[in-house]
Amino acid sequence: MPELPELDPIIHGKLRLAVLSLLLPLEEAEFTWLREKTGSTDGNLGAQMQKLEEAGYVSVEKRFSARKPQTAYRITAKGRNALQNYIAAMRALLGGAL
Amino acid sequence: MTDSHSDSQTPFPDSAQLLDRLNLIEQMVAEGRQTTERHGWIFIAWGLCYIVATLWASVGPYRAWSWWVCLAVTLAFVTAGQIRQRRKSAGAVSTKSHTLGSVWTVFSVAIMLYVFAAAISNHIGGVMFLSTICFFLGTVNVTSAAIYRWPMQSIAGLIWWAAGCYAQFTDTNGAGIAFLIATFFSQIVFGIYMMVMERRREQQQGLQHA
Repeated sequence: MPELPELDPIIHGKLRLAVLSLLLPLEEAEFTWLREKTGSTDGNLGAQMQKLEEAGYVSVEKRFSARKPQTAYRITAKGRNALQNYIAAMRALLGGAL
Repeated sequence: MTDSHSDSQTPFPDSAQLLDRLNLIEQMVAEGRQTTERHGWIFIAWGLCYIVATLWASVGPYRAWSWWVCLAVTLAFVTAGQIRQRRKSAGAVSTKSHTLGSVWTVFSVAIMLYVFAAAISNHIGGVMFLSTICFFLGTVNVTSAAIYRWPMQSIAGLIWWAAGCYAQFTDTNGAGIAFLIATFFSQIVFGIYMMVMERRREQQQGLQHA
């Protein structure tokens, strides 16, 4: 019997998966934009972004624009690969269901 | 949207949960691709600029500076509009919009330099001047169309190239008329078409969010 592929636990979290998917077609996105799109709270999103950053899936840039602090996130090559592997693993798990 | 489960292990998910995750990915990628930027009005603004500049260069006073003044005024107006637009839709930058923005910025700098040099050397309004402007505009439109994979914009670019070629075989009046015809179709008509498409896209996005 073939071994079932494992799902990356960092990506499998719903909010982290949503954020990585949002970042996929983008060059970068600000924290406030991600919060608005995911409908999450500052605290929850901040914690999940920290986990993605620690895993090396996103990079963060803190800067000032018109004297206001901005936090911009980018998906890294590692994050892109991880998301692709995650999708491939899900498709394998679903098998004929797709 | 919350993350409730532990990070250290992923409980074995059932099909419904997996499908839910796949749907989430599709939905979020589509959300990331959505844009609220509007560009149709920019084409119309530049079209009006070219018409005024061509007419001024033909019949008005201080003809040598007609193009330079019209381009500078329109550039200031368009830049202010774009800054306002970006402030409204701030938050995310797609790779495509960044690439396209760079292409058009480089084109704007090149055309401003060219027109400034032509104004100083008194070459405004001639056959070569109009033909070169046509080729500039054709090139930037076809490049933009290739990035967006948008055949309609390729047609706008081809019209500019056709006008540029035609201008080489005619006199100044003929080149001016070819330039105005190309401006009408590739700037005004295409700009209106783009605005209609942008309105439709916004309505569809509104429906998806409702």
